[in-house]
Amino acid sequence: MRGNYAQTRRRQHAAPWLFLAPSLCGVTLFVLAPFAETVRRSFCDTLGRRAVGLANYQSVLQNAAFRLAVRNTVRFTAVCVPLLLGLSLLLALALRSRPLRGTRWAQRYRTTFLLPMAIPVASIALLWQVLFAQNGLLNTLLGTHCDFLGSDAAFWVLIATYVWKNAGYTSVLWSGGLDAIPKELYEAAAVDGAGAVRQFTAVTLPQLCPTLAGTGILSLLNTGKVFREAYLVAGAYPPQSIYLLQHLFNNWFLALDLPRLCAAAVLVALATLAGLAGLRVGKR
Amino acid sequence: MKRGIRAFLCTLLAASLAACGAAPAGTTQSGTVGEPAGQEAMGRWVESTVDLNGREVLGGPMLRADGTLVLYTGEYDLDAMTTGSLMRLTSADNGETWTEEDTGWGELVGGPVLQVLEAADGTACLTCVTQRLDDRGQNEYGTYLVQPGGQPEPLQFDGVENGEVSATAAAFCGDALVFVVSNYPAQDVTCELVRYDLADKTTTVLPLDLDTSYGAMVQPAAAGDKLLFTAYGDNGVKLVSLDPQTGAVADVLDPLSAAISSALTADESGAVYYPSNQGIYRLAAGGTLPEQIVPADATNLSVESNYPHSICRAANGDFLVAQLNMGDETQTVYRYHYDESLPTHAATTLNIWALEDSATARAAVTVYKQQHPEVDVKFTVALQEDAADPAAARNDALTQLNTQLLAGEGPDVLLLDGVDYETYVQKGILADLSGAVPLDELQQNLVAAFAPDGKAYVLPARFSIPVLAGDDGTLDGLDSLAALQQAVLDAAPRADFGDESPDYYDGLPDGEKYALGLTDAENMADFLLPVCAGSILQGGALDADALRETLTFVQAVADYYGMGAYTLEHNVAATQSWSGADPVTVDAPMGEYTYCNRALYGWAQLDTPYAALVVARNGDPMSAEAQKIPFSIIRRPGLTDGAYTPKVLVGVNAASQNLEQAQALAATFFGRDVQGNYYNDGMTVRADCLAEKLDAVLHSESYDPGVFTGDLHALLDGCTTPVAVPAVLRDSFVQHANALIAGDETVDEAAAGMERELSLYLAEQQ
Repeated sequence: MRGNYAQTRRRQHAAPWLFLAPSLCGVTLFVLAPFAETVRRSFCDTLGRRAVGLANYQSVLQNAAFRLAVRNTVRFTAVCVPLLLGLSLLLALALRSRPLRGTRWAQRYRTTFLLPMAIPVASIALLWQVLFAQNGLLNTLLGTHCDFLGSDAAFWVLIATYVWKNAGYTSVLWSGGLDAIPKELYEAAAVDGAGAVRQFTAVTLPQLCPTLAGTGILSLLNTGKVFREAYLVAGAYPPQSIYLLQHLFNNWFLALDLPRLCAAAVLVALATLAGLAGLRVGKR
Repeated sequence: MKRGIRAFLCTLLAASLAACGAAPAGTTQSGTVGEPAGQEAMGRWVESTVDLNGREVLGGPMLRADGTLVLYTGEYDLDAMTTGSLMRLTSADNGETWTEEDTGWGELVGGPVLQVLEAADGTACLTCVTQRLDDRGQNEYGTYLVQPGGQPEPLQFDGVENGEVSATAAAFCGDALVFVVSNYPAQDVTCELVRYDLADKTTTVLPLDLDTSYGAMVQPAAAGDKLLFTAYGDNGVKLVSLDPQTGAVADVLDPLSAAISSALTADESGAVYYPSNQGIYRLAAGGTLPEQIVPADATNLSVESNYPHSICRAANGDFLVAQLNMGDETQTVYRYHYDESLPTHAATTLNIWALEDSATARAAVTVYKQQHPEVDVKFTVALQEDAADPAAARNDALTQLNTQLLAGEGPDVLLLDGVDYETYVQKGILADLSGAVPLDELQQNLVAAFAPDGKAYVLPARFSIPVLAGDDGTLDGLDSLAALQQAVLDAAPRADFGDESPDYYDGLPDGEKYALGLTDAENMADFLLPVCAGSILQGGALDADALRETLTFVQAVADYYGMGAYTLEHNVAATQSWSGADPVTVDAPMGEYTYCNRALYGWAQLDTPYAALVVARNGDPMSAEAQKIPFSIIRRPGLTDGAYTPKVLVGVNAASQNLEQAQALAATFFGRDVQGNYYNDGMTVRADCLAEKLDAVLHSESYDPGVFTGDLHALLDGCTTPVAVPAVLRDSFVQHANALIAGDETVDEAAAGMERELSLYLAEQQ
């Protein structure tokens, strides 16, 4: 009896793994194995044949370009992710608010909110050059002569690009989270005398925490994609304010500096994992 | 039941994954549809040369009705007005072997024969020069007809002078001999078709509606009852048909894909064959999509300096192409034979990679393949000429290359022009060439910088020198950038001047001449960076003083000239060439000194010492007989002593699977077969070839030590510092030079901007 039970349990445990096997193979082949190779290469020379210990990590941490890229990337992420989450939440709430709910404007917006994501990156780069160049449309309208793309102002142009591209998509995610909040909670809060603001802070925000986690991670991942616009507009060596980690990685790869590139990638991955672990601990 | 279903689904999933990676249906291991697996594909085009016994081709190979190939050669001397023996080469085996015989016609015609044309029945037409009028090819001609077995008889036309027609623009079409006649160099060029009926000897003249600008010759080929020829259209070379009965002209295909010359032939079905640098193509009668029949890879067709001027298709489908080497103006007839006994692909394939095309590389590949027919060589040009975004395309190309190299794969031979070759050396990507390339046979002052410890990981196969030319005595004291800047400010300012200026050839009095032809930021970059970049970026650091001095020159000259107000562009370039010498191209900056007589100095990249014969200016640019003004050439003053520009930088991938063959291929670049020829991309680096070139220049009939007072030996021996301009430096320099010229920035602001932009580049390398 006991043997049959153990055998049954083993079979039950084996079945999920068999179904997961193809997906696991793909993840191993295309994600885990390359990452393992990256870690290995971070301890080797250019061709990956000779081990050099921690020399690459030391070189990366001492490199001024890496430090600048990290600073800019952290700064960019720290500014644009909260900004995006906040703006897109406001947008989602606005579209659900009584004055706008069911209006034609809200409907039109819902049919076009993903358009910014669908516009090709090269088109955006061209448009940005027309708008933000020294003799571009914005300077003409404002009567200024600021080189938006060639100075520190490029940082804010990049922020605006990121928010504009992702606001619609993120507002959809927020809308999904808002829809999932049971109406009974609002009714109960109203019965208890809670006003709109109190309902928002006591019901809406806490119920949106799971959505916040998902949109936060997606927004964080999307910060990496803004490199495409930055590269097309400003090239491999942009103004220092928008010199991101991807620029450094791209240039190091072109310079065959794979060991340092791998070391930097490992450091970034460790930092990200540490951050996520810290959030998890904090949540507990 | 559930267990069974689970097991079935798992098995199904596993089985579906197992099918991944199998070859698609219909293909075999050889990759050729329909071939049984394991059988090697056979058949390959093989190139060989026809031995002309040291004579010139007079026209091109032709096919007779009986399948015999015929070719005429001679040793014409336009100065002595002789042809020597006019030889006829015939081949009964589709060009494999040839029999030579003296036609005896050389003594019977009025002068050196230029072209012989033959009909399928053996009737021949030849044109010779009967009188030289000037040096520009404006001569008098005589055209003769030779019946099979007969002697040359002057053609008698009704209403047309014999001297007006030429076999160079003629074809046998049916029972007629058809000429296309142009009255170039008349102001209003007109064309006529002259049809000479061979049977009744009558002449018909018809007007032709042809655009033959600049005297472009029409070289027709018979295709049935029509004539076909190529001409330059708005979209490139186009195929045009000409009805010899009515004179009607009509476009057949515009553009004719890959066509570059007038060489054309047709078969009985009306299909057209034409050669190009990409191969030999066939256009079916009525078709619009040419197909490639013979690939140009690893053949002399692919060498850009080879111009195919005639093609003939043999009875068995082989091709003969007469090509002119525009470098040394030698003619060669190549035979392309499809050999079914050879495997389609050689056992070994070597890959060469380059960002841009290289005539020297293609020549090296051709020589290597002739020496090693068992090895295939594939030449990959990573950047296309029409790339919409060259910077992004370059980035993608290098990313792809580096991915392969870092994975331990990649091409066998690398041409590192436009790439930071020092990075590839430092990272251990390249193999040592010192064992394969005879370093001691190369010019030592050029090679020393690339082989400091006897090992060479990258070597330039060509080089050029940034130079300054000026009247004898005026270049003294110009030994620094500051001195040059002062010379500019001491001379008159340059007015807005360009291609469309009405006074283009008028010249300026000596007192009104400006120093240098500099017009915009790109010009400034071309002028300054080859002699300053090595000092601006040195040892991984930026020299702020050198940068400031360079930008000060830009500002000083731009302000003095009023460059920001320029509206005219000057892009005119002229190429001079003559038999046995390298063609010399005089670009606009040198032209403002040489033929415009407006600048005190001209500047250029010296690609050949033959420039010493060409750059001299005339007292009167509109007169060829005017006295030449003594001049000299010096290395352009700058911040880097002994600066020269290395080109065709050859490296071998250390991880190559065929390392020995790759090194042998790299060595071919430096062999006499390649280095002894000129391909418009720089001077030879072999000491013996360079010495021979200098000797040829100094002993050339055109060389006058009274005119060229410089020292070519010193100029070449003084090249010690290779300067390759990094793209990031050039881009930043051009951007800030533009701002300086426009007055948007001061020197300090421009220098600070460049330092900021380059600081990232330098920081990444630390």
